[in-house]
Amino acid sequence: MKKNKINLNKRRFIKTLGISFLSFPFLKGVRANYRPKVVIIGGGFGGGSCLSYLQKFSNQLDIFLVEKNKYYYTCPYSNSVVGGFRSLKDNKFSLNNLKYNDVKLIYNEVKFIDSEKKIIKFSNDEFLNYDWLVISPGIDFKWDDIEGYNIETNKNLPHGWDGADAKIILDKVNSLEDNSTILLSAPDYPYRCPPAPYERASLIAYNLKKRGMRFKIIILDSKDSFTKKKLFFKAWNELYPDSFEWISRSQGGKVIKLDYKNKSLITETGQKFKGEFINIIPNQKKKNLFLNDNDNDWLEVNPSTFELRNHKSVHAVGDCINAGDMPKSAFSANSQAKVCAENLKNIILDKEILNPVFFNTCYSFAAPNYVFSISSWYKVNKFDDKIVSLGTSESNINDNKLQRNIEVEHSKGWYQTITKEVFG
Amino acid sequence: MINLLTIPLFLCLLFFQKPVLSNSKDEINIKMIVNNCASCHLENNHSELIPSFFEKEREVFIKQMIDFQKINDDSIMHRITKVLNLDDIRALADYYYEKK
Ligand SMILES: Cc1cc2nc3c(=O)[nH]c(=O)nc-3n(C[C@H](O)[C@H](O)[C@H](O)COP(=O)(O)OP(=O)(O)OC[C@H]3O[C@@H](n4cnc5c(N)ncnc54)[C@H](O)[C@@H]3O)c2cc1C
Repeated sequence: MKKNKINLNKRRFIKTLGISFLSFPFLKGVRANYRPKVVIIGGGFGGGSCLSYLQKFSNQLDIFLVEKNKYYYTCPYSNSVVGGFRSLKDNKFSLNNLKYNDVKLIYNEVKFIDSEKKIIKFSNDEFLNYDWLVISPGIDFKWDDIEGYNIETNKNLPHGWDGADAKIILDKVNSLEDNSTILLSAPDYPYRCPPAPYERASLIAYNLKKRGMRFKIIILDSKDSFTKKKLFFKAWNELYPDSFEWISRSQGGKVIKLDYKNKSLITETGQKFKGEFINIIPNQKKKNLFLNDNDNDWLEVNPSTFELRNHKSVHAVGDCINAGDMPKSAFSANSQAKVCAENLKNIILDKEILNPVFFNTCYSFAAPNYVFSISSWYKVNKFDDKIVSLGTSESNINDNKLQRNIEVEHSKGWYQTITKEVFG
Repeated sequence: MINLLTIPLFLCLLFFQKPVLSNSKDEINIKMIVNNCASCHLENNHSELIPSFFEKEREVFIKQMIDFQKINDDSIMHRITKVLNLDDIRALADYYYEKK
């Protein structure tokens, strides 16, 4: 990130003080009626869940949430939009003012955080200070990994890894003709929602099959395996026989170049694949918001409190962190945010830090009535202070149609609950 | 002297030990488990597609959790309950029953 210098513009700083009504530096024990100021950056699954849990202590804390967008489009269920059986507006949410009437919602884009001065600077040059900060700004993309693929080409070939672009991808899929070839480039670990590239491929297939098209989907993978592989393979054989080809990294699946003009992808082994529709899901890294930070791909946290290892009083949850064995998912972000909120409150109120446990489930659709899942509990390994899985387990490979349909209900139930919890 | 057989036996036990969420009653505060259950089983506003835990009788809740553990069908509730011990299940039942 560019190293910006803070220009303490007095007028703007005072204006921000105005927004934040009580913004004196936190002096523990000095003023009995002082309310510590906690700011959360990011109103998505991690930040929103943290807000929802910290809100229970709004009588003791001044709580602020900073979000750059008024509306949030969920990534979960965005592939159903691509599949043509869900409307994008069903994935659109905003933080409900009624639910959050005792916290302050600020719609502004954070330019950078100066964790030494405990100041957040916004793109419009306003400032906000904090006593404690929680960040969950999501992910950024590694634009240099595939030659010919960058922010510019992404405008015409959107990755759709942020929820809002699902409709653009749907329109492209809808415009395909009979006998089209679809190329999907799957990223290397770690990335947001490990099963989602394969769910996307499944639901593109569903869309095309429903419209009576013949098609071929070629998944060019930067990995040698992927989560729920057996379950996906079984679903593809049952629902879309002879339509899928998966090329692993060691078979030459890693894409290194996009030839945009010729609608082709070139892989590490020099093979060239041509397709009528190309969906590249790029490699990923943290979204960097700090004035001074290292070049690590992900933020390192203490897994019991989620305080950053290299920024005091700043906590981080969600996709931006290295969460050990936990995958980057909305479910994980929600689970981490609850632990973070609980133990941050304990730090601020000088109480005992509780041992955390986490849980994650990722549901995947292969068709509207065909869902399977993977799940695990997690604990902190005391020896190396890392989050470790207690063992992942998946839906039974031999589940029948009814059981796959029951998982549809579970998935919808989870989505309804988490979106109500986060957005109100 | 250590019996030579005890080492592989110990390793076997370590390897085949069933993973559990809490090794002792006080290790994990029940609130931490409840918060994870709340991803689907919220106190208010939970989805109509998912049964509420807050309406169940204590004994019914305990029996259902134990049944989920026993029926090894890879269902989501089996996968969730299999790492809970009886103390966890009882503490969860108490928590939901008190909130009833
Ligand atoms: C196709 C797809 C399908 C998925 N399906 C599932 C699923 O079924 N289940 C599941 O559990 N997970 C799923 N996920 C993963 C899930 O969407 C993410 O893991 C989750 O959104 C992570 O939450 P987060 O809070 O880290 O980031 P986000 O939810 O992305 O939230 C980040 C927020 O920060 C805001 N922000 C960023 N920068 C700034 C800034 N500078 N200033 C102010 N605000 C800022 C953003 O506007 C955003 O609102 C899926 C992902 C994809 C791509």
